[in-house]
Amino acid sequence: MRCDQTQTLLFDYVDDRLADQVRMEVGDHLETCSDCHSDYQGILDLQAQANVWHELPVPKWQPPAIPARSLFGNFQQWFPSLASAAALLAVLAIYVGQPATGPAPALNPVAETTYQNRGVPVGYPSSALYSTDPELESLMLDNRSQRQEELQALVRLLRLEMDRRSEETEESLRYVITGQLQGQRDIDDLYDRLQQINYQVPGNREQM
Amino acid sequence: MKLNPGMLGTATDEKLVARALAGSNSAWNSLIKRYEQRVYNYALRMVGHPDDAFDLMQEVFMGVYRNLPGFRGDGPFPAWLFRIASFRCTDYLRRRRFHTSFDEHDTPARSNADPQADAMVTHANQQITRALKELPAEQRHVVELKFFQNFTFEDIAQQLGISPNTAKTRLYTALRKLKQHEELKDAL
Repeated sequence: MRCDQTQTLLFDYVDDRLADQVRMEVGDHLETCSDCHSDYQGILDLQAQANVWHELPVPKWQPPAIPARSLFGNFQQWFPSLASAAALLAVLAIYVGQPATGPAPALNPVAETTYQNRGVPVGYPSSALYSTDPELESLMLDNRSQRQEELQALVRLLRLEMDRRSEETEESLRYVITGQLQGQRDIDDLYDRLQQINYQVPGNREQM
Repeated sequence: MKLNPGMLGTATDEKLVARALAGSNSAWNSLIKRYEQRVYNYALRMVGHPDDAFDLMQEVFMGVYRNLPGFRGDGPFPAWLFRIASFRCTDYLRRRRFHTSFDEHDTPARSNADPQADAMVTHANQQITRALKELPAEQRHVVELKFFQNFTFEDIAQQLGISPNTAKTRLYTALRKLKQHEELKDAL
C-alpha cells in the first residue's frame, strides 16, 4: 500500500471502520513507513489530548423563553395559504354572482328546448323562473349543479397550476443554491491544495 | 455503551423539540440544559476566552431558538445544533479575533472545593486552548468537531459546507502543525 492510500484511510483505521483485509494492509504499511506512522501517532495524540479537556460549568444565564402561542404567531404561519384561499373564493364568488349575459352557457338539450317552448330567451336571468314551475325549477337546479361542477374543475385546475409553479420555483432555487455551494467547495479544495504545495495564495480564503 | 436520553426514560431530543415547538417552556429549558455545557466548552476552545465563549453560547442558542421551527428531524439534533454553532462561531471569529487571555486570571474556576485540582484542570485546559490557538479557524473547527465532538467526516463536511476530503485535508494540515507544538506534548 502506498503512502497516499494509507493517509486516506488513516482516520478510518483509527476509528476501526475498515474491513479486515484493508486494516491489515494499513497496519503493515504503518510498520514500515515512519512518515505515515508519525501521522498515525499524531492522530492518537490528538485523541488523547481531547480526553484531557475538563468540561467547565456554564455561568448562570437566562435562556430565551418560548413566547406564548399567539394568534398573530400562528397567523404568520398560515397567512399565505389563507390569502390564496381567500383570493380563490373571491374569484369564485364574483363568477357565481355574475348575471348571465351574452350567449347562454351550454345547457342540456332538454333544458334548452323547455326554455324556448316557454318563450324565455336564452340567457335570460333565471331567478324569475323559480317557484313558478316545478319542472323548470328542477331544470334550473340541474343547470346550477352543472355550473358547480365546472367551477370545481376550475378550482382543481387552479390548484394544480399553483402546485406546479411552487415546485418549479423550489427546483430553480435548489439548482442555484447547489451550484453556489459546489462552487465554494471547489474553491476550498483548490485553496487547500495550493496550501499543501506551499503556494503563496494572495489574500485569504474569503477573498478567493 | 453510550446511553441515549431515551434509554434512561427521559425525553429524546426530538420529543423535546416537538414540545418546545408546541410552546412548552420546560421542554425548551430541558433541551438547553442538555446541551449548554457542551456548547459552552466548544465555544471556549474555539474562541479562547470565557466571556467570549459565553456570548457565543448565547448566540448559538438564540440561533437555535429562531431556527427551531426549521428542524425537520431528518438527522440527529446535535448535528443540527452544531451546524448552527459552526455558522455562529465562524461569524463570531470574523468579528473578533481569537483572544489569548484564556490563561489569565479571569479563567473560570471549576469549583471552589479543591483549589489544587482546579489549578490542574485550568492548566490542562490552557495548554489545549493554546495549542488550538495556533491553528487557523477553519482547521480548528475540523479538529474540534472530529476529536472533541466525535462527528464523522460526512457530518463535519455537511456542517461546514465542505467536502469530506477537504475536511480530511484540513485535519492533516492541523495535525502536522500541532505535532510541532510544544503545548500539545506537555498536555499529554
